[in-house]
This record gives sequence, structure tokens and C-alpha cells, in this order.
Amino acid sequence: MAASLDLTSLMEFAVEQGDPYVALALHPFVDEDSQAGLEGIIFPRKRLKLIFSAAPYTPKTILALLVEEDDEQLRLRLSKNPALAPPLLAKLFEKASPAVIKNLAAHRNTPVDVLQQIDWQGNEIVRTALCGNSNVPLTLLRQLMVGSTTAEKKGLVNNPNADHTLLTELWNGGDKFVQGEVAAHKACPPELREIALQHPDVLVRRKLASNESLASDCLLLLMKDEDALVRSAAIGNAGLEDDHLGNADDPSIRVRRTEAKREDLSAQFIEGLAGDEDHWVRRWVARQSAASEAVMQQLSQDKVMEVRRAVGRNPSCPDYILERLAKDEDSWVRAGVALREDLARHILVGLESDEDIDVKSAVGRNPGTDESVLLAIADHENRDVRRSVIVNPHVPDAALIKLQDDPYPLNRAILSGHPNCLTENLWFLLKDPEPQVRYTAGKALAVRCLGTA
Amino acid sequence: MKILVAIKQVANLDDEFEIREDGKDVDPDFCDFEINEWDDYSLETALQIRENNGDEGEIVVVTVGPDDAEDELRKCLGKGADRAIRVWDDAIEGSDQVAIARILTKVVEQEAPDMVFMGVQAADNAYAQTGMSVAKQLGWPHAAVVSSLDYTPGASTATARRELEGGLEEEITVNCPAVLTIQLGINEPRYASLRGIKQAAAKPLDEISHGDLGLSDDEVGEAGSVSRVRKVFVPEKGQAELIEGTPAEQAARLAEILKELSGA
Repeated sequence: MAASLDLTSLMEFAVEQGDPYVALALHPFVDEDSQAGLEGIIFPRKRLKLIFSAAPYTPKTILALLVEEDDEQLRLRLSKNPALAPPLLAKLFEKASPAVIKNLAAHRNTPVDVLQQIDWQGNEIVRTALCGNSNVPLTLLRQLMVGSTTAEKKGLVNNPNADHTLLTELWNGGDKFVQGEVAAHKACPPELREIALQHPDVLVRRKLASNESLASDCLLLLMKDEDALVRSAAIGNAGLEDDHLGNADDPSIRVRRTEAKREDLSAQFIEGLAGDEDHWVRRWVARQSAASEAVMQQLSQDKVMEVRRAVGRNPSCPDYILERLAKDEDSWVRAGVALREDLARHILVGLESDEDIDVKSAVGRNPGTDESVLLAIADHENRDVRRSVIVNPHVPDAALIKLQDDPYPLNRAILSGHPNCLTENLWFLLKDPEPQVRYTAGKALAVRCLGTA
Repeated sequence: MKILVAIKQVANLDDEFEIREDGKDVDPDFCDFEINEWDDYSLETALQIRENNGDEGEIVVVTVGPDDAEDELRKCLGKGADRAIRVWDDAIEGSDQVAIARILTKVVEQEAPDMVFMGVQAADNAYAQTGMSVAKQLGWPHAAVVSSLDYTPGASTATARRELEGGLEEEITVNCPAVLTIQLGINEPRYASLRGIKQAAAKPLDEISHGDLGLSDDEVGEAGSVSRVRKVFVPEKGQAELIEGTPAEQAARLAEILKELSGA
């Protein structure tokens, strides 16, 4: 079939093929009469109704029809479908069995007014589900708090709607785990933060240190905590400004690793960590874009391969170092260099003839790679290497035509869902043996049809 | 050279499923059907032997199963098998592994292959008996749980490695023809190319009944079986409790539970 882009041709194809997955993909995009025709393809088999009720990819138009069905097996699956929208969950609630109510109580999309109507008294499972639902409003949280078990408190304490009063009650009635979560809550009352700061249990202090709304003075105190886990949590806190970091001389590897991961390190701090005995620290430092040329030069000769690769991935790495790393004895380092989209052409040319599969995959993804090389990689015997070409923004059409026939289903699935995919590819993939590929291709074609209408 | 590969279409259960009204199996509405994983490896073993033999020889796939099982045979044909046989009729319904082996034995006798490959077990029923039962009924040499195979078509023997307990392996030589049950991981099964799948539609697929194999009604189905499913059910789940509190409180609760369970 010609690579046309009109919904009428697509509808004709769907009806002619009778494929429920293509019909499913088109359903939200066509008029009511056409939808009725597609429903005749989608709904005849109970098995497919069960699958589509549970599937997060099922279009809202189909979910809305399934919700209307008087079938408990479907309703159970629908009530657990994470994509089900609030109005459809409210619809399910109108005729909900106890099992469906349990799922509605836990569903993240259940509207607040439905949550408030659910009868949880005397039903431990429903009550526990509500305690763990982050949509539950404060009024209901307060009711659930009365007589709550420790397990339920652990659910309640993670609710973003909890206020100072509720968090104080939870602190007073909870174990150290609940208290730790209270300390980490953004609404944790100041007086509890003070208590948590001096708490004898490391867990509570560590959770407090991870609280991003914590004031700098608290974080500075926690950075001096005797326990490395607490110091590490404070240093990893996004609320901590880099001029509070101090020196890169903490005795704990865990703390120095956390420091090395921060994105706002000064050149001086980076220099302090560059000679660290721990290679994970050096590895993170090597990725720092603020690292000086001298640090990158030093780390590019590190004995640990991952450190050298990290230098090659550093956006500030100068060409002369990349040129050397492109000839590294370890292929993982060379692959890291080959992944760089800003790589100088002469370095990339050297890597294009590298036969290692990691380097080949990286070259296949690189938009600077020569077209003839991409065509050759699209024919590579390794399925994962072939896949790299699909995501290359400069992939030649001829390579995509080759790959639409790839024996590895994942490669065709990636192709069908990628913006590079040609309209011609999509028509071809509508007849793919894999339902997921046909569905994705049908949906992509429908979207393109509407875009050109 | 001819290798016969026996395959099975197995049921893959949904997270939530219901038992059939007769209580003897899962309602098929709640199952996805696919080729038994072990059989993918058996077919790949056969395909590789043929490729190493200059693509000379025939690979025949056989299954005992209803209409839907044809999908799995077509997939095998798409990967490179030459011919397929599906054995089914109403009387075969309810056959246990021994009755299925009886049917497969008749197919082997008709086809007279140089080797028979089967999966170690089926992912759904997990009896792991059909292969050995076929070997017994044929009176052929056999090896189970084969994790490596050295076989040259036309040779009078094959050398196989078998997985044993405790990480041990056993290397054995079997006279040919033989029945081998193939273990997962012996190779990397290929995917069928789209061209192969299209070509598979034109390859021969014979549908035969137990009568075509010379078997009587008494030799298949429940009548020909030595075991019958009485019921399939979900066992009652055990209870779990996270014991919280101080070590002393935890110990007290633990003692309480032990007393409850021992009836003290």
C-alpha cells in the first residue's frame, strides 16, 4: 500500500484486516460511526476485553465503554488500571463490589469525593489502602488516624496532605520509622525538627537530613554529625548550597561519593576529590563539567576504566584528550567517546571502523556518523547494534526500510514508536506479527494523519 | 537427516484468573498462549545441527493440541522448520502425559527420524515426563536435561552433557536414534524473520487424528491415561506478620505466635 496519510485509508485497512490492535489504536481518532465499526473488531472476544481493561495503553474512549459493562471481572481489572481517569473511577464506584472498592481506595486517580464516600469502618484492607493513598484529604486522614496501627501510620505519614497537627500526632504515636518519615516530611513542624536534630537514632537524623525544606543552619549541623550516613544525606540534600560544602576531606567514602555526585561543585572542590582513593569518587568527579583541564588530563590516565570513560563523557573534555581516549585499550572507554554528539569528525572517523559491539552501537547512535557506515550498522549481525541506528537523528531512509524487517521484535517495536519512523515504515509495521508493534504503528499513523489534516 | 522436534503450546496465566467451571483447569479467557520456552531451545538445537550440516536435512515439528496450537507450529516453520504436524481430535482431550507420549510415539514411528528433541518440561504442567515416556515406548536411548550436544547427522552416537544437582554435569554418549530432552540455555533461540513468517504460511502443516496414527479411542484421552486431574485450585495463603517493637516486645510476640501455632 502507498504511504498515504489519511484516516480513511487507515480505517479501510483496519476493517479489512480485522485486527483488534490496529482498531484499538485508531478508535480515539475517528468519528462515532467509524468507532462503532472498530468496536465490532475490538470487543467480540472476552479475552481481549480482559486484556484491554487492565492495559495502561488502552485509549480512554475504549476504557469508557468497558466501564459501562456489567462484568465483575472487567470491573476488577479496570479498577486497577493506572490509566483510568477520575470520572471513570467515579463511574465504577456507582456499582462497586467490595473487591473493586478496595482497589478504588488505593488508586492514585480516584477523585477525592469518591475517597470520602468509601466506607472503611471495620474493613482493615480498605482502611490500609486509604492510609497509603496520597490523594486522601486532610479531613479523612484525621479520621483514619484515630486508632490507626503502626503499619497504617507509615502510610499516613507519607501523605503530602498531612499537616503539622497530624504529623505531631504521628510522631507521638509512632515508632522510629514513623518519626523518621515525619522528620523528612516537608510540613514537619519546627519543634519536631529540633527534636529530630538531637534524636539518638541515626535513622531519624538521616531522614531529617534528606528533608529538602530544611534550613541551611540545620543542614550545616547535620553535616557535622558523627554518623556518616547522616552527613551523606545532608550533603546530598538539594537545598544545600555549594559554598557550605567545606573541604573534600571527609573520612567516609560514602560522604565523599555523595559530594562527588553534586552538580554544583567548584573547580577547587573537584580538585580536592580528583585524587581520591575511591574510584567511584573519581568516576563522578570525572563527569563534572567544571573540572579543570589538568584534572581531566590526570583522570583520563586513571587505572580504572570507568574513570577514563567518565572523562570521555564529560562535555568539557578537550579534543586532544578525546583523541587519546578514542584509542583506549578498553572498548567501553572508546564507546563512551563515540557516544558524543559533539565529537570532532576526525575522531569519529577513526571509531567508525572499530569492530567492538559497544563502540559500533555508539557510532550507530552518533548523528555525525557517515551515512554509509549507518547503513552497514543496520545490517550488523548483533541485534542490539542494529537497534542503535533507529534512534540516530540522521538515520538514512534506506536503513529504516531495512530495519522494519528486523527479526528481533524489540527493534521493530522501538522503530514503530520512534519519531524517525517513516510513514512507509508505519504502513509496513501495521502487518507486524507483534500486537504491540501494530498498535504503536496504528496510533502513530493516526496522529500523523491528524497532523496533516 | 531428519530431526523431529515435539513442541507444546502452553498457557501463561494472568495475574488474576478464574478456574474453569469443572474445576480441572484455568479458564482459558485468563490465559495467553505461547510456545513452551524449552521447546524454543529444542528447535534451535535442531536448526543449528542442520546449518552445521550444510543446510542438508529435514526438521519436522509436531504438537498434540487444538486449533490454536497451529500458531506455534507456524512460528516454528517461520524460524526454519520444514514441515509441521498437528495431532488433535475430540477424543484426545483429557490426555495425560503418558497418553500424549503414546501419540507422539506413533508420530515418531511414522516419521522415522534420526533424532527426537523435546523440551525438558512444559512451563504449565511441569511433569517433565513426556520425553522420557516417548523414549520408553519407542525403546530408544535417551538423555534428559541436555545442556550441550555434539551430534553430527549420520553418526551412530551423540555426546551430550546433562545438568545434575549441585552444579555437576555429566557427559554421556548415546546411541542414535535417541530421544533428548533439551534444557534452557543450551543455545540462543533465534527470532523468525518477517520473510520467514510469510513463507511459513505456504509450508505444509498436516492435521491428523489419533485414528490416522492407528490408535484406538481407548489409547487416548482420559481412557488412555494413567492419571486424571481431580481439581486445580489456589491453595490457601499463609499469613505473614511484621513483628515490631523493642527486642523484648518482639520476643514476647514471637513466643505468643509459637504458642498459638503449637496450640499451647
